[in-house]
Amino acid sequence: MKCDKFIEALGQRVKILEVTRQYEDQVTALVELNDLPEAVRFLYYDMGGYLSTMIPNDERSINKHYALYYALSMEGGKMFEGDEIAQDEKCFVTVKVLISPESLVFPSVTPLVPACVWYEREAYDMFGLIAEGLPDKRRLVLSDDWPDNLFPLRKDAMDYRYRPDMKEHYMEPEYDFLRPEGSGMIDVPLGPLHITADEPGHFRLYCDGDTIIDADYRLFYQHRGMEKLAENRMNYDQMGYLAERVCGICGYAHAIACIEAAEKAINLEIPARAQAIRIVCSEIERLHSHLLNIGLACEVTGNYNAFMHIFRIREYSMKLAELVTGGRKTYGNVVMGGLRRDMTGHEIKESLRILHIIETQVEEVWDAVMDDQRQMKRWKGVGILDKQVARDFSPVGPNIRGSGIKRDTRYDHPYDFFKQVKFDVAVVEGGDVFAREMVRYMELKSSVSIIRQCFELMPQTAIIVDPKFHVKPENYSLAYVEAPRGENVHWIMQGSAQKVYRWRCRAATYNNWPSLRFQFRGNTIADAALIVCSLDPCYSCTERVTVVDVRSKKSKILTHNDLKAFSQTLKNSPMKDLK
Amino acid sequence: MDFIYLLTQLVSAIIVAPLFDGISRKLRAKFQSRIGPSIFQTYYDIFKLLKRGRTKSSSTSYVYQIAPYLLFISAAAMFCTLPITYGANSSALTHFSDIFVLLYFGALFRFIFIVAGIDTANPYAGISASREGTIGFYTEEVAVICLIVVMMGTGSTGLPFISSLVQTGEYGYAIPSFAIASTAFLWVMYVETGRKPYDLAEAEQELQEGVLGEFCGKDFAIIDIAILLKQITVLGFFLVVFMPWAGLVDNPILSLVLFLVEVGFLYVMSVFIDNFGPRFTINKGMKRTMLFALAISCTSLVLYIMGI
Repeated sequence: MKCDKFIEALGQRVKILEVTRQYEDQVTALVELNDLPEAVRFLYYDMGGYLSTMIPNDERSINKHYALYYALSMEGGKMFEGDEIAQDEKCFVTVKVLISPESLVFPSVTPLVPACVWYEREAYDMFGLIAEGLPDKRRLVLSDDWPDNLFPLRKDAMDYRYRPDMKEHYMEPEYDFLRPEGSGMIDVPLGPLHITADEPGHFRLYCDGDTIIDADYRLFYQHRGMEKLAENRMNYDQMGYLAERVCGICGYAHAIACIEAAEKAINLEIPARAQAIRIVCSEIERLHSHLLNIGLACEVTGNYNAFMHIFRIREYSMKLAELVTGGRKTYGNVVMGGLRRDMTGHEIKESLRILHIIETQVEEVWDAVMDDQRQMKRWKGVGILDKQVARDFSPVGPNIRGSGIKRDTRYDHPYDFFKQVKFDVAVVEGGDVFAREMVRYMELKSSVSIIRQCFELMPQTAIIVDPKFHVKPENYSLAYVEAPRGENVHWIMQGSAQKVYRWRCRAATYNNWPSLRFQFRGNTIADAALIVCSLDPCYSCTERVTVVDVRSKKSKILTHNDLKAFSQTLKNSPMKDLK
Repeated sequence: MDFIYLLTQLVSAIIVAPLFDGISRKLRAKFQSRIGPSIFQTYYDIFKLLKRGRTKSSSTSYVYQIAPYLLFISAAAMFCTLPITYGANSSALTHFSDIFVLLYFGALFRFIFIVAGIDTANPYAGISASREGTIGFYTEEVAVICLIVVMMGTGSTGLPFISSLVQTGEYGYAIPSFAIASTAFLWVMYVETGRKPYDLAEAEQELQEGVLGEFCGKDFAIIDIAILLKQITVLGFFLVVFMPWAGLVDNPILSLVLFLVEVGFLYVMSVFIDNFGPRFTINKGMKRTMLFALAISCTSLVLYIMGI
């Protein structure tokens, strides 16, 4: 069986208390708390693993302990040619530990495996689990004025509707940015609101003249409480719709990952046609996301002309999404057991025509951009992600493939229809902005080819199987999807009454942030926005808007629906009762 | 009478400048496969902004408050030094219309821009101000070297006098040093308009418009007009010294119309430069390209010293 080799090797290093298998390629090994750092380090560096996700969990109602799951994707270090595990041996190994609720302390893995840093900081914020030996113990997820002893994801902590009181503006604690030592430095805050970032994020750049010496950042300004919302409240069909709202761009990838985590836990095989259309949708997402990012990488350097032309092409990919799912966005299509909408022969024919247009026009515009020496000079040698840094921090997607590491979930852990589709993993050496954009361009081309293959190979079967299932409480499994920004990993532990006990959703960008600091160093302020952009950070949107009348100093909060209704009809102006 | 013409010159430039901007925006939109705004959009923008109030941050001083007016006044004064509606025979204005007066008004404009940026205590405005200073450092010496060639060649610093010499053909393109100086001069004057790829000080995506990002409403509208006027002036500076053909017409109003058409043409045609390709960075692209301009201007100076 897959994974046995790694478990055996791990067993010689540390004492394994229990081994459980979740799926054919997923195994969990329970180890003793003090062996945790060594176990993770051994699998990460010696056996060639990358950290996919880490899940803290409150299992006091199950086994009177908190649990931590370090999920590693075993695929080889990939630092040089041949440093890779054989294709049929790649799998996920999860290291599990139990933490007693009296001590709440666990030994930190971060000093040995830097990739864990954000996960361990988050474990404190959400569960109050203290990583002993963690070099950076600042808050990560929760705001700085959050009450000290309130850990939102503990089962007994709080109702999900509860909102702690906010502190007055002047009472808010200062966030402690990591400032490099030395004098003569200027702090340049990029954010919390900056014109090139649609989402709030505070990047503090420490500059000497125009050069960035070091940078630190504070993110997580917006919270939607999704993981808490899902727990014990939603059934599995509703989960898919919640998961796709995680992101405005790669929503479909989240929906598939979430639903497949549940499908895997009950061993449900969906029809081949549904698998193929799921792949088609996620590749359409890749098309429009990559076109968006290449366009933005031009726009951030001031090249509006290229940006506008790339967006013109992007419009075709939205049209393609309309043909496949019925909406410009690929939302609302995934359910347990398959899909809600099939494609007709006419729609497939029309899609092939649009694919041809996209393919030729992308090539034209890309050639024009490549010919522009000034554009190339803005991209080349900027924001370099060193290969060793990439190995240490487990970034995902074009970010790591641009550093010459061949890491692609579609290739390492083929899911759904990818077992039958042929494609080349885009890998470019260099690690700079140019390499990352080049990876995206190559993936645009491979996406077009994958969609074509899917249309050709997909059989005439049903698109949904009757999802009659009964979930077993305390089962859990991991599902992974290569979203445009990289690997999305969803982890679901099932609860009683067909509900979710714990849902951990790790979006691609979460793994890409920690290494950003190294990419900033040595570049100029002019390139800072470009470097952030080349990571393709994930944006989410606020759902409400506040209207303030300046004269009367009255304010009123509009819901999303109020605003939409007013925008459509222009009746019942929200400003009326303010005057 | 001369003063009335001068006033007409200034007012008509202020009225027409937004139209040039509107036309270039429309043209740019066509290149970008967009429909684009109406050619009167810049007027609408300015009117809308003029109706809005002003806000100011608590860290600013009076410098910030008077900066928009000072910028407008210095740009207007710069424009008035261009001898379009008056010539060498106007005794009252010829002393005012001088290359050095124009250059110093230009320096004043830049100084106010920098001081206003530093005064806001906004880090982006500060970076923007420092970049504006650096751009001046790159452009001014090229412009001055070109002008030295012209001033030595004609033996005068008075703009009306230089214009009339070039108009009559006593001094002009038959002289190689003058012809070469005109190339470098047009180049730096384009840089002075602050359009892409040289819009480092206002770089929207990097610095959120830098100094301008701190201004809003009425202040911003006034600065907008001041910058448009400065752009017209620097292009006009080139026309007055190196291509003063509009002055050949005797009627002041007619020559003003001709001048505005020429400036408008240059302004709109700049779209072919500013629409394509990304912005330069201050320590790479900017430095490298300005070295070329400097080399050209030095060539023309060497040619002048050699006597050709």
